[in-house]
Amino acid sequence: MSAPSRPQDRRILLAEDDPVTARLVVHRLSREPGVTVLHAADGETALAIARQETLSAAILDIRLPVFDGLYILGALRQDERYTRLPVMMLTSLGSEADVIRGFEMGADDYIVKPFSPAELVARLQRLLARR
Amino acid sequence: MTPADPLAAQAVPIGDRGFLILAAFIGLVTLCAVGFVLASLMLRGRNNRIARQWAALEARWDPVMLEVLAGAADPAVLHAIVRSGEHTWFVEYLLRYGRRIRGPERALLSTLAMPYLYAVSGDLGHPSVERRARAAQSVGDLGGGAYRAELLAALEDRAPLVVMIAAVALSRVYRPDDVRRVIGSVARLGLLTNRLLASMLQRLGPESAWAFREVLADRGRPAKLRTVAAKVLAAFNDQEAGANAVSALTDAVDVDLRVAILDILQRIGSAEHLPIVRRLAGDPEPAVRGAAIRILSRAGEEEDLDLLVGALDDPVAWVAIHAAEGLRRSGRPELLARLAAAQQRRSSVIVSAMVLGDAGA
Amino acid sequence: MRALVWVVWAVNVATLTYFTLLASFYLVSSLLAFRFLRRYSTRLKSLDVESLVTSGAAPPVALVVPAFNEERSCVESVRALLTLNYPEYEVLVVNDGSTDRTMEVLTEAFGLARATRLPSAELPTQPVRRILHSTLHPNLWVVDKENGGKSDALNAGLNICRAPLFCTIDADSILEPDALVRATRPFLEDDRMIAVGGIVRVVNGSTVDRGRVRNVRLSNNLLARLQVVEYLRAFLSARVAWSELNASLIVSGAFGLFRRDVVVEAGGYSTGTVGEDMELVVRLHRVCRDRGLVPRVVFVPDPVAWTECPETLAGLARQRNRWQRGLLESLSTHLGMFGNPRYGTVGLLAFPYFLLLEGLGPLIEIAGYAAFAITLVAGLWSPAFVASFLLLAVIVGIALSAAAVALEELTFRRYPRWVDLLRLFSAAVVENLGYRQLNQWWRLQGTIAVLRGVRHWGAQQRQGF
Repeated sequence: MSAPSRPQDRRILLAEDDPVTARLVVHRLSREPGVTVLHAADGETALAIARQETLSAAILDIRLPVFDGLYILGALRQDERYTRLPVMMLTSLGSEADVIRGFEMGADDYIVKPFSPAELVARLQRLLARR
Repeated sequence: MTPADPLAAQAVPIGDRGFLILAAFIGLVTLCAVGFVLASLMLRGRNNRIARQWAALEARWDPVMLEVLAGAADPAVLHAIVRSGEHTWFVEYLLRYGRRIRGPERALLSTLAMPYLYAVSGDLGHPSVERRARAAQSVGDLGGGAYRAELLAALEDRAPLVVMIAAVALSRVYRPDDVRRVIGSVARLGLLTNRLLASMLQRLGPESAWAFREVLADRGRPAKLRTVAAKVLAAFNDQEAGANAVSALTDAVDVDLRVAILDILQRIGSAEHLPIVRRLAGDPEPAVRGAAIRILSRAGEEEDLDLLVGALDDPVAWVAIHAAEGLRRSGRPELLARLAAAQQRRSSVIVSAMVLGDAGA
Repeated sequence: MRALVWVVWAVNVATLTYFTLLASFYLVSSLLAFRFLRRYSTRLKSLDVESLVTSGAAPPVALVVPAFNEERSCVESVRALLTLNYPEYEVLVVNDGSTDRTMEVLTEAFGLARATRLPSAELPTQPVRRILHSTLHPNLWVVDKENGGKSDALNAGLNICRAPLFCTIDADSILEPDALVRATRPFLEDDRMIAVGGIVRVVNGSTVDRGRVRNVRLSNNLLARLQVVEYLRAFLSARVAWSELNASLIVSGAFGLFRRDVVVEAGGYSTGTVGEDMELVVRLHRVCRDRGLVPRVVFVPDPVAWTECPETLAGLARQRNRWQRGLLESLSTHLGMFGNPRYGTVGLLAFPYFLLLEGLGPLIEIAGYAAFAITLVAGLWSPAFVASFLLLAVIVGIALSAAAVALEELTFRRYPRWVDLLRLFSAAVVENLGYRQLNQWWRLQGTIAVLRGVRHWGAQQRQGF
């Protein structure tokens, strides 16, 4: 049962504090039809965005100021709107424990930094298509 | 002008000449300090200028760069807006993206950098360590395989920093014959910790495991290098390292080496390795004992339970922890009763750990 | 009368010698520091520190945070500590028998639940009531124990520490996100390293937003500004120099990284002194050398911990008094190292310097001012003498304090506003026109207290740190 291929308004949260990485992802993602990227540079802003908007997906960096990505993931899953929200984690080398914990808490996929923006977008599209 | 009063003269331990020398000396110091201060003020001005220049460059390049990386614009478009004299800045700019990107976009970065890398590679022979290191990083990160020869040469650099950067860069573009050279040069970085050396060499990937097995088996190599090789093999979960490991263990003396070999067995060992591990569970070195007990706690058999119980009383707390974990995994309720009854130092903590489960394990 | 003149003469000699030695030390250390920092900051700018470490070689670190009556700030501090930019680390908070609601506040904010954790060491401490684990943040643990003082709390944290490295930090300090990455690098580059100190900077006046320092500014409080200059001189000049000479005797308890196994083997922290951070480092040097090992202890100026400094004279006086006591207590327990070549540059250079110039220095300096006054009043002075005294007591100090500010500007440049930089230079002048002298007075009182044998047993007083 695949979703119709007409572009819908997809609002995707990106929680990432590194400005260069954020720029890369925002630019690449925004080129996809119908996609609006909401960028947060810290955990608190990310949660605020999640509360105010209706998200279609979330990309969460694990290491963030104020609240880390795993905490945000937990908070999202507690929100009844987002129990099945597609979530992708951005992790760094050497943090396998974070990946495991992320999956335990309900993340759908993860990508290790440094990554290919094209690959990130492709995997995200796959996640979105499944819903 | 010393005071005329002879009594007074005794209170004052410094005469005119002494004062002049002192004044001259302090005057010099003050002059240096003033120079320092002026230099720092000028430097502040210069740095502000540089920051402004960077901001202007980024404003000009970013939009096009992002388009190129997304595949929507040709690299030539970006080259067109890099003015002459901005080449070193541009390479620097590309390096920033290089650190955050992998995959197909990386090839794009290399294409973008290629016209400028030749000039940068000239710095590989620069007398300053930092310039050489910077050059090695630039050609390593952005050069693709084109600068393999230069990187191999940089492996022989007298500065450890440059060797490290070259080794890490080569791990992306090496050929099988290069492996021994990379290992050899990294071996010269004697002061670095085993952890860092192993992490660097690990980047060569499991296809290079054969070279590390070779090093581990070679008794003529220094113990530190063999230890690093063992750590890398353990990280690779190299299935074929078992025989080497056991053989090396028979005559290895160095503690770190033995622990690293045991770590290999921890990951890929099988029942046939248990006898040698059991022997080491009584080793005088606590680190070796601990590693052996750790293996037995996960892979041990029925007959090892007694050994583990005995290890609970080990003078070294670490060893006892491993033993306790093993006993908890065995899931034998009668053991609980036995331990509680025993007059062992740590029995109460251990029993509660077994009941509640140690989340920090 | 003659006797008095002789005494005054002797004190004047001692004072001028002391000033000259001190000035020479500061001069040499400024030059050494300049040379090192130039190279170091060029290297930092030209290389990507993070990738070398967070590439998978980063050793696990445990942050040990002793806390006593911190109900107001502990949640925010701990929260900030949980979001550092480091791949693998734990936060071990040790509640040292707080009498306020510290435990309640922590339990609620972080979902703490009772847990067990087998000890990795068995250093003696006051009884531990329970160990808790956060259900929201798996790398946060809290040790709830009876009051025993800071050293005792640190030892309790060490007892459950499993990581090969541990980092001591004050409960109200703010670590920069990349501080751990930078501070662990020396451990990777030299396997003889046993301790690394980072720089402690004064946060007063800067804006702190949700656990991160946003805008670095100088405080409007004069005392705070003077302390900034002082810290710059103490850290950027002096500690860099000692580090270069491999004679570091001090790793600040407000931000220090240590190898767990070496510290545990040396017996952990001593509860018998107020200067437990210095005493540990001195002991580590001794224990390692006694075993024939050459330990490395370095100071690296790039990892930063921000801390609040006292803004009142009373608070400052107490702090300096305590520091002086800690200094003398730490040194007096290991007097055998004085001038002893067995302990390398630590025994031959650092120990004598700290004992004589820093330990007994206040005594000499204050006596010197008294003698100077007497010399003036009794008409025994000469222009040469007065000028020399002023040059040594004030001018050199100004030059060297200004040099420290310049060093900061030449290397790390953390104060972005021009006006702050100029204020720092003027503070460098003011620092030597009374502030330094006041400091010596407070330190003198600390010295006297130690000489009299008054020792503060942290365990017996329900004191904060």
